[in-house]
This record gives sequence, structure tokens and C-alpha cells, in this order.
Amino acid sequence: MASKGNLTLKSCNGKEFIVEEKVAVMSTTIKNMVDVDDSFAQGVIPIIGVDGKILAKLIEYCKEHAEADEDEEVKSEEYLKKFDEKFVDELNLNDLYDLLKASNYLEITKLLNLLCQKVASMIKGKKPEEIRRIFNIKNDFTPEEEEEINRQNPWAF
Amino acid sequence: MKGANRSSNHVVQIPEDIILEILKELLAKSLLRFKCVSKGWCNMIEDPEFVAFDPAAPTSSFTRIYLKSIGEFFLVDSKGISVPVAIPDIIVKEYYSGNFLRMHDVVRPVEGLVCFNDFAWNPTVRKIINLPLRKVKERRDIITGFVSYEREFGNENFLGFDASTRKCKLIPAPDDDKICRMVEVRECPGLMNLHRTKIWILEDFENRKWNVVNILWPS
Repeated sequence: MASKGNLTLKSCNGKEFIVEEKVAVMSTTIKNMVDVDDSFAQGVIPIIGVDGKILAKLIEYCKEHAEADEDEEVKSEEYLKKFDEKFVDELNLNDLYDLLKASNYLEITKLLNLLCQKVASMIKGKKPEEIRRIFNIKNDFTPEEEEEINRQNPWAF
Repeated sequence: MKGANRSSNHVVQIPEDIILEILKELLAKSLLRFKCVSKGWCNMIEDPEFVAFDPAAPTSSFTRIYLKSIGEFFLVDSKGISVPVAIPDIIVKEYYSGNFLRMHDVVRPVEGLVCFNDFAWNPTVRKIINLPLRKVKERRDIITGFVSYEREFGNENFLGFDASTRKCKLIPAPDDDKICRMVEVRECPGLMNLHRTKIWILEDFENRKWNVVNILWPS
């Protein structure tokens, strides 16, 4: 049981994390749960579909940002920017995708934006066929249709 | 464990709403190229709501469009680096001829759209959206502001943004008003007449129904 001011988050593979409430409520989804139902604040909050490794990453991110929101002198904007850069640079693709989905589900907007920017910078110079491979997308255009689209925007290629 | 047997293969399905967020981070050149990824991607990028999204949001380093000289648009980022932007023919044709745009104008887009009288232009994805307007008698300037934008308006329109629906809305000035100011009344767009004590509140955007309210000053 978590002490007052702390929440217990439980991953889908049963790993439990005790975190400060201010860190946990960086997630709008968790904030809404705690606001609506007091029993969540005392008990264990199950984080569905997020495993322990990803949850640990999420908490690491939220902790830095929650602390920075509280005290700008200890964790300056510049410090946070460096932390964000390092955070996304160290992710492998699997973790990046899992974190994207988790931060979307848990509504951690800042992190979602950060991860989207990272993916965008990864794909911006890529060709359409590389994009299909990265995102596992089937090309459902006929060759004629594809050519027509390409003809509309010759300068984009 | 779920993650372990996937490590050799990073191909995963990402929900469409996340893809959409990623696409919003990209500039026009990539977006247009990615239209031929699949029909789903093409639809997302051509969706009017996506066209109306704001590339000048805080996450983007590009903050405004800078009109350098007649016939040229530039996007300028926060470090002052500018990128030329191709201008649609319709803008060149309709507006440059009459010296419509002055030299060295800074144009602040509203949620990424530059509003002209009868259409709005998204320079990021190079798309023009036709605006549902009545006939405009006189063209004077680009309407760039939404909140606290004060000047004399004739038959002009205001471009606004409804954060709750994430849709751009065009607010036509009421017929019998000349000098007005954009105001918000209970989070609804409205116009205030600066000479007469009246407020027009746009109650129904689709049908352009205005509700006129007289202001009662405290005595």
C-alpha cells in the first residue's frame, strides 16, 4: 500500500511502482481516475497494456518533468531539453512504438509530442516504400493511381 | 513476454490517431510525398481538418509567414532562418496585381491558415480551402488576427479557431457594422461595435445566425 501522496501503478505483467502523485498525474488518464474515484488514490492502479519496462520509462520521464514544473531553478528549461533529447535518443524502435502507444493511451501530451517529433524526424527524408516498411502498411494504390498522385506534386520528390 | 519475440522485427501497427500526430510534425514536402504511401495516408493528409491544422503551433519552430516582397512568401523560424514557400496561382493572380500585399509584411497565420476574403490558404500543405462566404465587395487586406484585432472593417471577415472542435471558423462581419472588434462571449466568437454598444454573437456558425445583444453599462 502506498503512503499518503503516493500512488501505486501496476504494469500488465504485474510489476508495481510506487510514485508520487504529482508524477503520476502528468498522465491525464490517471489524473481523471484519481479525481473521479478516491479509491484509486489508496489502492493499486492497473495500467492496462503497458509492461514494466515501458512503465518504468514513462515514470522516468514524468518524474523529471513533474520536478521541473515544481522547481525551475533545480531543473531548468535547458536541463529538460537535454533530458528529452537523451531520453528519445536512447530508445530503440520497439520501445519508441510502445511508448508512443502508452503515452497516447495515458494522455501524457508532452511526451507524446516529443515522441511524434522524434518519429517525424526519422521519417521525413524517407521514400514512400520505406514508410510502408517502417509502419507495416500495404500499398493499396494501383500503379496508375500512384503515378497520378506523383504527377500532382512533382516538386515533392 | 510480449516484447521479447518481437525484438528481431520492429514492424508494428501504430493506431491512426498517433500517425496523424506524427504527420503534423512534418512539412509539406514530406507530406505530399507520403500521400502515395496508401489510400489511408492520402485521405489523412487531404482531410480538410488536417489541411486546417496549425504548423505554427508551439511544437513547431516555424512561427510565422514573412512576406518578403511582392511575389514571395517565406516561412521564418525562431532563429530567423527563412524558407521560400511556393504561392498558389490564385493568390498571385487575384492579389499581387493590385499591390494587394505590401512590401515586407509579416503575416501571422491563424492556426496555420492565411485567410483571404473568399478562401484560406495553408502554406504548409499548399492547399486552398474555399470559404463559405457571401459576395465580398471590396478586398483590402489579409485578415490575420482573431483576438483583440482592432481596425476598421468594411465587408471583411475574421478568421477564428474553435479549440473545442479543432476547426477553423470564418466570422463574417455583420452588414450594418463598420468598426468592430473581435471579442469572445462565453467562449463564442463575437464582434463588438466600438461606437454603438452592441455585441454580435455568432450563435450558429453553419447558418451564420447572429444574436445581437445590447450592452448594459452599470450606472
